[in-house]
Amino acid sequence: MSLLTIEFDAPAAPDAVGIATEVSSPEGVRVWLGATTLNGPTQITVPPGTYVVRARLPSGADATGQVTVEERATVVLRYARDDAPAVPVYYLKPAPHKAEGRLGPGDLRLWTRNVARAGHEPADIYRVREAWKGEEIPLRPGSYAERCDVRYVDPSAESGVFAELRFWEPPGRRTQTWLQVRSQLFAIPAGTAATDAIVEPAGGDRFLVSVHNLHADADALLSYLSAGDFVSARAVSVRLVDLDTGLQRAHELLRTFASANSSAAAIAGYFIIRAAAVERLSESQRRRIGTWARALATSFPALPDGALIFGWDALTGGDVDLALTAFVEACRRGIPMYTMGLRYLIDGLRMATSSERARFASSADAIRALEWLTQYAGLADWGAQTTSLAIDRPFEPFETRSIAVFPASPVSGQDTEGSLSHQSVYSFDVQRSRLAELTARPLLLALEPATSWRVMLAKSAMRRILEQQSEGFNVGLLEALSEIEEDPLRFPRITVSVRAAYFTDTRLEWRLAFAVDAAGYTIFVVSIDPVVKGGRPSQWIVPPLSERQLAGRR
Amino acid sequence: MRWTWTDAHDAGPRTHALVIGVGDYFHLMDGELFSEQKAEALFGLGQLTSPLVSARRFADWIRTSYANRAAPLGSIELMVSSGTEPPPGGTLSLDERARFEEIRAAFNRWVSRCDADRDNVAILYFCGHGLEGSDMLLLPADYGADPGVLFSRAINFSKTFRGMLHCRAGLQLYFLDSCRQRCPDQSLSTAPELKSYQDGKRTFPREAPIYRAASLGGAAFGRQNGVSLFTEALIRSLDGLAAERAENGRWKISTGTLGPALTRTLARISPDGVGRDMCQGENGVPRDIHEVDRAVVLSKITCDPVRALALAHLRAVNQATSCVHARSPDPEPWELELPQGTYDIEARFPSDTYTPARDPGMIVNPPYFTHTLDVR
Repeated sequence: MSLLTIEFDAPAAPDAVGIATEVSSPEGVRVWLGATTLNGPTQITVPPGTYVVRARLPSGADATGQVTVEERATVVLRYARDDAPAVPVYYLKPAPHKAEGRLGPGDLRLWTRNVARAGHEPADIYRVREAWKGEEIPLRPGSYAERCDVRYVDPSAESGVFAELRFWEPPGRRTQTWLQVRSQLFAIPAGTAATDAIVEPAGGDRFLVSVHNLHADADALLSYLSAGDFVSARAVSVRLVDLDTGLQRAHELLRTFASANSSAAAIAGYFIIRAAAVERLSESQRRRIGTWARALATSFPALPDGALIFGWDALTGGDVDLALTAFVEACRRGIPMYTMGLRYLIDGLRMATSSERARFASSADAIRALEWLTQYAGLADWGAQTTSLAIDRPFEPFETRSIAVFPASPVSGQDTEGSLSHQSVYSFDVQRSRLAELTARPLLLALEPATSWRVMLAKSAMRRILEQQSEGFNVGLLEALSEIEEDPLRFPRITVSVRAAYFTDTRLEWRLAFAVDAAGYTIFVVSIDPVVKGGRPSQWIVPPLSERQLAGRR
Repeated sequence: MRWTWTDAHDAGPRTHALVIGVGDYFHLMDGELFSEQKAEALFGLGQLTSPLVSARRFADWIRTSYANRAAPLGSIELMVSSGTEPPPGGTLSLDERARFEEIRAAFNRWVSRCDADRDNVAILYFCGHGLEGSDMLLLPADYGADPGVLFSRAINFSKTFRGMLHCRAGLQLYFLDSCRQRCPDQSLSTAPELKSYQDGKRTFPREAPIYRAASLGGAAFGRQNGVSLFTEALIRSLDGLAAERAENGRWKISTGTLGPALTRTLARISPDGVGRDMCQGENGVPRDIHEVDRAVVLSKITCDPVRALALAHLRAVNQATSCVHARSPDPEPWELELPQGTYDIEARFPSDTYTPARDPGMIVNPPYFTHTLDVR
């Protein structure tokens, strides 16, 4: 065998982004297909001979070379774009349109919103979220808007680009960011790292915004997927979605602040939905995907895409209830940041609400969520990679009328193992007739992963502590649920209070427990397992209720 | 008109095609019934001449050229909105005009045939008007016939596509040769589907790419009374531009190669270029569609500097067959289709202009070939 080295002549190449590359013989037989890197050599072994080497760039362009290999040889794939601005990301995107257009003061606005704000009154948690905050982005290079640097501006777009912006994700993963360009709104799916956005004219009064994740592999994978180039997507996907090695890389995108990247994780999720051929995977691989998708959903409470990807995984696995729950949660978070996510969310809600198997198929929330989403779907640019809407102000968030099933993000604290001093209490109103449904519904946690995480309580210990410290919680009332179901009209309305929340280690299959106080009944609700292995026991899903509020409840 | 051809030896996995061409829209501008009852929403749409020709051409291609050893052709049903010369053989019904109910009935027959075997291949081709918002709609000839019910006679393709999850055919190919005019109307989703998705009912894994003639909001182009650009690109792709070498040494067209080839070919022949959202599907595990005897490669030959092209006599000589492709001076790069092989490529110039160049042994492999001759 001979050694063939593949290199790129790509000035200003970004990081070691994977590029789908194939090597074929003069007869057209493909001898190798895999990922090469734009900024460094890739070595493969081939039989001696002459070959064509073709790299399919995510932009849709390609770089081709021909080489004859005896013992060893190097082929340099040349790729230079005269028409592209000197911005590295243009190796990954189609060239700008160079349409005519002009931007003026006030044309660029940044909209941000905290989706799961910590520290507010419990009763407000699902009903009142922070409103959209708008801020004009000055059209001056080097200027700064909150969380946004203006890196390049050309109001007349002679180079084909109006502006290049860099967004910074604030800590906490709770913020959604959208960019308004005149009467269009563009999702900026920011990860924890910086995210670049380039504003281009698209002719007439239309604009394009291409968003560039600094995780260049994710960017490339999204481009391949969006173009329907599944062969290339698969060739590079292993750099993000390592199905054969337990999804360790994919988990890295969720785990720590150092490497977590919500948008890269979402793109990995879309690859799994769209191109991983899940039905051909082994049972253990499918289970790992399920675990990962759940972690994706709960790790980034501001990311609608995480919830909907988890919902699709549940739907694929036949759990329609869980899928529906996740889809509604996705809507509660907002409009998906990626266009393909918008399509999957609409399809998923339609399929789940039409399901005869779904216990909650008639759920008013799900139907309302679908209606809410559909009104924006008609305004979307389905050709864009990231969501783009023809609206001139941020969308009104979707509000659930019943219990939100993905509780908000945890509130950080400094509690210690075994302590219930931090006991979290959260209350909300539900319709009496829906009590049984709600208490049986799977619940998912939005947890902040951290580097260390201990199992806090064993199941039995949890019960004991609940009984000791929760003033007579009767855990046995779980069985009484059926009685309530049979007499749904006894009370028109019940106030349910979650009195405590615990999460434990998924490996041991400990479960989250809520203690629920329902108009004299105390019901111990066991939900499905929490997600994140790693983290601190002090991270509770709901903020504590004050003593005054507690007294009021009693 | 409806034309049906069925293979009498109907055993084992088969390919079943439903080809629909709608050019006559009774209730749209200039339609037969427009003056009596015009559609409630016109969207600026009128009559089309290309769909009849295009659908007929595609049906003809399937009948005469389609080659799939794993699933040989089992049936074709061609439905068009007015009379056209039918392909040879088969049976003919002149009464049908590609109205909603007629398309629904044809669709049900087609699904029934496709359902017979898990390894069947299902091909659905539609050429006519399309709308798209939250859902994609395909418009039959009687679109707009129901006053007060806007989309009652429109086909909700998005829902139909989901409904086809219940069809056993493991490979489903959808070719939508229609505009994708944006329609923000939320009532779009009220258009009926031809097959419903029912949860609880068994679904089947499928490879189901959708090949579209236009990006969202874009137009699909057709020639007056001629084959549409999409259908032309489709047939050229199937005839070899989308071929890749299979493990058995033959040339195959698969779902993995057809989309990119179709996009490239359409980009070459389309006046407005193409978008990148034209090929969509599920899962994307490449499945073989068709086999050809030879691969054809979209090729582009140019010079450095580009201005030398205006004086360049270009040649590409196939080393194996000695077949010569030549072009006279022209300021634009030379775009041509070359059979796969190894070529000597050269540029000659009048004396005292540019340096003649000859690059021997250039491998021209699918899916496309670009080469620049250095003549400085």
